[in-house]
Amino acid sequence: MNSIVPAAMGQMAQAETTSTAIPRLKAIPWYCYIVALAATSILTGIIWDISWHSTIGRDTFWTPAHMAIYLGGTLGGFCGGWLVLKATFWPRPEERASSVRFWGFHGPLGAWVTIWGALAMLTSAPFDNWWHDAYGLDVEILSPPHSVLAAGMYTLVAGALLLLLSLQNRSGPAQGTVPGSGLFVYVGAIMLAMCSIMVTEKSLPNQQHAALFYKIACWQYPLLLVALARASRLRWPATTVALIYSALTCAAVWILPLFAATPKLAPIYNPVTHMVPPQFPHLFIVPALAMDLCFRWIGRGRGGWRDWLLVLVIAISFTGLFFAVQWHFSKFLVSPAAENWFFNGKGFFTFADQRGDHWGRFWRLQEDAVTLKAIGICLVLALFSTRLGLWWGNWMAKVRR
Amino acid sequence: MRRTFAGILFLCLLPLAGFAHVGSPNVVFEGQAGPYPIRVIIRPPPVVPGLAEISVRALTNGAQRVSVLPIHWRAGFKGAPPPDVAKPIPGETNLYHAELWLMTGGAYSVHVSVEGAAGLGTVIVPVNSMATRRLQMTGFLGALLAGLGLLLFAMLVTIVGAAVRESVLTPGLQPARRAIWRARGAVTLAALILATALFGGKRWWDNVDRHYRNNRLFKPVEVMASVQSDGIQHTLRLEIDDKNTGSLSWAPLVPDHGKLMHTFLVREPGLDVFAHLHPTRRSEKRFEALLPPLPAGEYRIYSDVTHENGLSKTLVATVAIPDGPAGSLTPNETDPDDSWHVGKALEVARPASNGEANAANAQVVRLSDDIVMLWERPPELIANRDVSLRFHVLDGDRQRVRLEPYLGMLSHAVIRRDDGTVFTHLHPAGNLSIASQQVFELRTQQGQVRKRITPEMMEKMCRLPSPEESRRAFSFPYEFPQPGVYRIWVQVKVDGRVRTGVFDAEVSVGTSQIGS
Repeated sequence: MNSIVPAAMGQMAQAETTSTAIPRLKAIPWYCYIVALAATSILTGIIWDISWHSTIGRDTFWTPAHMAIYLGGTLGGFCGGWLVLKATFWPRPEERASSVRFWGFHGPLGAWVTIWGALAMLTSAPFDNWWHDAYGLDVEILSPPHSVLAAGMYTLVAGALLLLLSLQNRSGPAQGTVPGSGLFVYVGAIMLAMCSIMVTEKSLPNQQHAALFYKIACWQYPLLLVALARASRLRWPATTVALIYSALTCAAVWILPLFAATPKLAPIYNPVTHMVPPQFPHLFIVPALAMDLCFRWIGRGRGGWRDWLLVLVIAISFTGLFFAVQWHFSKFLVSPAAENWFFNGKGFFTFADQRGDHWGRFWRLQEDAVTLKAIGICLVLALFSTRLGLWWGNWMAKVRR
Repeated sequence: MRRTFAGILFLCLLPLAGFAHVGSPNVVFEGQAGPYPIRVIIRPPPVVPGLAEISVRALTNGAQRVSVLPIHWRAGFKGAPPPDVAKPIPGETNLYHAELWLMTGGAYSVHVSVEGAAGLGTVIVPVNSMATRRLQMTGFLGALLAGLGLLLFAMLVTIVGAAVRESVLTPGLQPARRAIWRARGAVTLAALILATALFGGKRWWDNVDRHYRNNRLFKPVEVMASVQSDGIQHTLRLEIDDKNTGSLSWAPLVPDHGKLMHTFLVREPGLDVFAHLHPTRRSEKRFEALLPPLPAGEYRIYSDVTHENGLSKTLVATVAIPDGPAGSLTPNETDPDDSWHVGKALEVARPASNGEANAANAQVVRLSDDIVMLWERPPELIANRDVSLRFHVLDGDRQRVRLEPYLGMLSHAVIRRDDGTVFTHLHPAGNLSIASQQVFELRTQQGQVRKRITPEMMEKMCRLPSPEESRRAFSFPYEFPQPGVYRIWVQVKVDGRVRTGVFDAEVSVGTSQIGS
């Protein structure tokens, strides 16, 4: 089936070594910047699009926000496609050696993943267009065609992570900064921001005294932060990811309101005059710092009892610290004291949100109270999430192609 | 056989029935926007939220800028965005086009403003916003998406296999047999997980579709029609069951030209009997009307109502009317504004010659011994093109007869396609609900979303035609929605009696001016 493998296929359970030597990288290859740019473009487009819908309301296929998303998809897809074509038809020895086989073609795993992401994004376009004709223009954010688009975007960013990882894991010693490791945590922070955006509708400051917010957080974030921290070679990876996430989100919070805009869809219950920014970022920085400390104290060795101890300690620390920090911080965010350009207290409400006292208080306190049982569920979710994150991170730390 | 076919066709058309008019969703208005005479056509979207198209034709020169603003009945002006400027259509004179975003179901008022040398003029045109279509995916798109989906599926499981087989290998190493088998297992597992995810996605899609059908798609209002007889007279009873919810639900009614309900009966299949009745409300959803002496037969019933939120609906039913009792009603016993017509009006062989009428295309029918109605038939009627249906009522000396107001209007027209797929009730102002227009004018005058609209308030909004208008020719603006053969009943009141002229029209295939 393939010209490279017959020898290996013929021998039992032994890897055969070829003579390809991988030169040590001194600079980051161009494609790493391209996929990082693609991920940045997608995140920018998502934040911009949400702001567009929150401020102006009406949109078309050709809004700049949509163009940013599709630019990201195009960049990632073409970049992955080029890497595959190069490794298949005009390969240097090290390129072919660091590829995986795919239907007779060769290319880095990350390239295939970005191609898949771009193709999924492309597929979502005619599907979404038909969906609008059948059920109306974006009745709900979470719809099957939007899920295909979201899957494409997430996968493309995951492909960027894999491309950077393979570069990092092939370069230099097992510890310390190597080419691509900085870009890896940057793209990881983009992934974290995308994950938080995905659950925005359940994560407003007014919802941060209800149990659902903490259940979502304990399920979603440890998995990603632990996986990134495990795979990264930086000294403080989770903290760095949380810091970059906070910086990216704060940039959106502070920059978007600088642009004047008014709603163009009725009914307008909140006559905004500037682009609506997202809410202030979650304070992941505290549990992320604790996570890094856990890794440093318990050790980064993989497998065995250390991993299970890490799961236990990280899950407990994440649940406890995130709960303690965000619970009190949200009190500040819903108060009048946060109504300024820096914290954007109530500035994230859209033109279609009816103003009222409910903006200044917590919601669903009775129906979804934070009880001991709810905290217990959060802890269990965090345990599962951390365990999965460690497995995922252990695998990512070994990806070399 | 023909009746069976008609019955099947009627069932097929039920989804179209219930919203204002049948098979003719476009709103046509002709009137004054301040000093500017204009004709407005609004083509509402088949799903909500969706984009409606609006075209505004200035009927005289002088308009320099046209803007449009849709306002939902519940939000009012306070929640309205800035109006959109309509753009002139290249190649057309005085024709402007814009798109309207209708975001929620229910009634909207579209404020059309014209600016020019004579100043600013504004008029309100009501439009229903409701999902009326359940779209099926075309074969091509289905095949394209299925192909892409299959490709994505195959690629993803292959990626999983490649990731397990060789992604963690040191470059240059070949995968061991064990890794190959692990990869095969991973591919199988990934395929199972992905198939489960796809199955879940399909169920999600089904749930969305079910929710759309149950809660957002407009449900035809069910009407149970029956004829009650006490041996002396027949009574038509209409019992309404409206299953719509939210902004589309059954709300209190407001009178249109002084009547809560305007009911039209057309005998099937020959369309040779026509009646225009005004049932009386017996309870919230039960209406009754004494039947005039109509010949027995199967009748299609169309009832126009307008709710106080501005939503207008046409209720559709069928009923079998038996032979009349010995003491059938005389005209004096029915509602004084009820009228009926049996048989096609007698066509006059010699076209009338009137100074203004285009005799070459004229069609003339006799209304009485000494009164005729003349239709200036356009050379060609084309579907999806706006047209003015212009009529004259002339006496024996070919002079115009003075028309008396009938239900507040100089004339009424009803248009029905021969197969029943299209029905609409027209006035010289168009096919919009005048009551709905008045409701929105009232709300605009109040500057707020008024909760209740009383009959007295509606009465004050009625404007009778001027004496000068009563001796002019009259016209109905309309846009035939599809080609075919149509019957047109035109009603006027002369010498205290309602007269009905009956015409037939053949409409040829055409496309929208905006789209063409």
